[in-house]
Amino acid sequence: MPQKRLTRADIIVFVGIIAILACLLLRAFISGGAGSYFTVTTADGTASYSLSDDTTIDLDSNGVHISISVENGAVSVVSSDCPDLTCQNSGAISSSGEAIICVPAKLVIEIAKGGDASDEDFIIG
Amino acid sequence: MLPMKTLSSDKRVRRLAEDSALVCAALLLSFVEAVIPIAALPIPGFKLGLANIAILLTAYRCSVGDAAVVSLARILLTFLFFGSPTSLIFSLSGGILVVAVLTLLKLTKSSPKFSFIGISVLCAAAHNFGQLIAALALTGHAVLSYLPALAAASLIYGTLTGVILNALPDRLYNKSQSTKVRYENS
Repeated sequence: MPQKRLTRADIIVFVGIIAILACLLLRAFISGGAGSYFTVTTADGTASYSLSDDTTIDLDSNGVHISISVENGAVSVVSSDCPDLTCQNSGAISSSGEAIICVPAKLVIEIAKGGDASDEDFIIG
Repeated sequence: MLPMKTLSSDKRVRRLAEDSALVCAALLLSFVEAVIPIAALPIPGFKLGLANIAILLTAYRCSVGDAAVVSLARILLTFLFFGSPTSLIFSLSGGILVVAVLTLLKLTKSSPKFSFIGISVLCAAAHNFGQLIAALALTGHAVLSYLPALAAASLIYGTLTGVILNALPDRLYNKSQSTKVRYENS
């Protein structure tokens, strides 16, 4: 039976998780930075878009209609049919490595790490 | 005054009744959690895990086996009532890891070293990590960018759940009540 008050082992768990959190944030910060383009991966394939063009992208993935907006160098999900709506509340992402994921739609929006849009082949699915 | 004998099958009936009540509790907690608007949560993508309160209660009142059964029943019922196949996979993988962590705690007999806060944080982390693995299998490595949010969510939501569990009365774990019916004024 566990105890009723905060124990030393609890503190160790806390410190451990905070330490892991700090390491993860450090890594993200170091390898981060503004991205130049992002990829959208759906059930049909992957497409690359530039972060500097303000556009709206509408697509259907796995039966879910999703509207993505690119504005001021950041991409966000404007609307989605999916039952979860986590993707919509994820806000805007702009740093390389960040991602927005919609699992029911099998959709992944990921800011590419470094490089240039010309490194990738454009496959518009 | 009717003499009552405690039957050996009484234990099985008792276990069934208790587990059923705990499944109801877990289900209700899931329902309460589902009503909370997603936008109100500080960390998007991670659930509060209120049902863990019932699961941990089961694990320490009954056994880890009971907790596993209650967890499975809760997951299946939640899926039947308002779930999608993806949510089922996520809940299952989360639940499996939680049971694994609880089994580990029982085997190493280290539960008395913690309070419910530490154990809740560990279970929340296990549950979220299980869901991350499921997402990894379904959508690829991009979910790994969610790891910091996962750690933060486990910490915050685990602490919330743990505080509630710590506050629950000790009588909930007391199983020594006799099954004899007591009559007054007979």
